Amino acid sequence: MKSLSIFPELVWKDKFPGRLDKIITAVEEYKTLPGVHKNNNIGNGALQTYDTNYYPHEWPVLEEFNKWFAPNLEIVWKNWGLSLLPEQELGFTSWCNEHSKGQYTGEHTHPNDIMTVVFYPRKSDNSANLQVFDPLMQVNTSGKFWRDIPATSGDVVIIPGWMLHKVAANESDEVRLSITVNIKLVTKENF
Amino acid sequence: MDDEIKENIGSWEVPAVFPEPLWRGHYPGDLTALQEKTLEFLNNSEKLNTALEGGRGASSSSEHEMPHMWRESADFYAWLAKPMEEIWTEWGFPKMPPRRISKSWANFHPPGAWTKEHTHNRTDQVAVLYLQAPMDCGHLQIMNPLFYHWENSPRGPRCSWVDVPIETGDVVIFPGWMLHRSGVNKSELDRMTINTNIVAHEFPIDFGEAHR
Repeated sequence: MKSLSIFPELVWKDKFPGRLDKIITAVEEYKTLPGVHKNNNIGNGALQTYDTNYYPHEWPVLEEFNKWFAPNLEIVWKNWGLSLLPEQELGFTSWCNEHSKGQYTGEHTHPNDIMTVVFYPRKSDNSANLQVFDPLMQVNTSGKFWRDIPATSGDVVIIPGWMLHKVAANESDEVRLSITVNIKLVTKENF
Repeated sequence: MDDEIKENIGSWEVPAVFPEPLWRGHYPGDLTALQEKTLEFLNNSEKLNTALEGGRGASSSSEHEMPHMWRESADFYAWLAKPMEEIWTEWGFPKMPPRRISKSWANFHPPGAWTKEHTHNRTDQVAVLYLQAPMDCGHLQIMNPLFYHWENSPRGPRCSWVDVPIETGDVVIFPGWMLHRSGVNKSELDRMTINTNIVAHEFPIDFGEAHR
């Protein structure tokens, strides 16, 4: 007997093969830039940083990552059977998260975003994993609704924007750094 | 994971985070005697029902006599026990209470017939044996159980009804809650299936015996 994957796969994981040190520096410096918002109201002081005029995915240091990621994104896009109308294009937003020891992110979804991408410039093994909630919980009789997506530095995880997820508390002494990119459909300007 | 999917994921891993609900295998035994017995049974039954059948389809689901009781099906059920147990475990279902066959029946679809969409309410596990499945007899079709979740995304071809190709001897196992149906039999031959419901069943105790 073999399981049949007839529906879109929900969770995807790959590893960015490029250098991480310069990206780590960029994440750490981002919060010091003028115009960058700092939100530490999530998960015991976990820090979220963003600037709508200068998103992390627009950083020059992520150019190599973006080149690597584009064809990989297409694979997931195709598996999900997604398509764009002539007037549509993809819109990207992104931010950084820092989780020191004991910090976490509570459960949430990314409404209106098709795809959520999490890239870990720095993450200890087996700590502060992304956790996803069983979207078929109504028929899940095991009682185990949350599942870990184990990852380490350099890993990239994609989930659908509708998928309920959270980040477990960081139990390591190393600060966990992640960059999240949300992808949504937007109407082209001047269409 | 499906071989076709595996070939198209590049360097991505697709972790099996949640149990896979849908499984397909192939019964390696000879089905001739079971095919003949089923046809004879269906031809002589006075209790065939058509509630879920389209075209001139018929089902023995109201019959007291059930295919799992037949001598001709013994080898098939002996073979089926192992994969059903393995998948039961894969789904994270407990060993107790014990698993039981709650019901089995045969479906018959002449050309132009089909089974309408339905679930197997309060059934833990379903096995369908494609006893006679000529080419173009209509695939099994499963509704993506995450249909509503995907509704805020551009609608993809695998987000609603998805075909599961089948052929004679194939066995498909899925949970009873999964909405499914069959495609229309577009062949010139009849299509027959044997369907089996499995439930985890507590031993019943009558109220009269409760104080003993």
